[in-house]
Amino acid sequence: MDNSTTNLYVGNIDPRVTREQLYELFVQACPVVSLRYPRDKVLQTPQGYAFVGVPSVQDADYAVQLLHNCVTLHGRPLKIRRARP
Amino acid sequence: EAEWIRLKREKRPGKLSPGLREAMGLHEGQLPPWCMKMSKLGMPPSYPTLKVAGLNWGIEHLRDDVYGKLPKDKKKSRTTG
Repeated sequence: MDNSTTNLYVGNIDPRVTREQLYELFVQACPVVSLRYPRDKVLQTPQGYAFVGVPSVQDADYAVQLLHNCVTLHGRPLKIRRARP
Repeated sequence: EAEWIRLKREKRPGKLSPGLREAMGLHEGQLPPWCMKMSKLGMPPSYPTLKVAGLNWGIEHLRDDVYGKLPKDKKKSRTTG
């Protein structure tokens, strides 16, 4: 009964980064079950953060340890932490 | 949704597209920055059988868009929750 989808908050995302690239990056650390990458309603530009849903708390903790401050996209290091429930 | 199905099919652990490599500033023949951390942390909990070039897989496998490989496992992956 592992029904504990956990959300990661990802910040400091350069606006050139696509949703597809975020999926691609996180799937390196664990399966990705959902991805929310909000855009500005008027300008249609990404707002610099995303929420990545992963299957379990273990996956979430591993992804944070593996990728936080480790991956730099267009010169900006990604900030990753567990999202508050 | 169609886009999601396509992502799940095309984007695999161990493979990085040219676009993502460019955004990361990752040159050809370079391992992604998290690979060294994998040697400390161990393999991802959801991919215990992952092979990574230079860690538990020959470095000669590092080429083009591939740095690692997840052998096809028998049981269904638990991505659908």
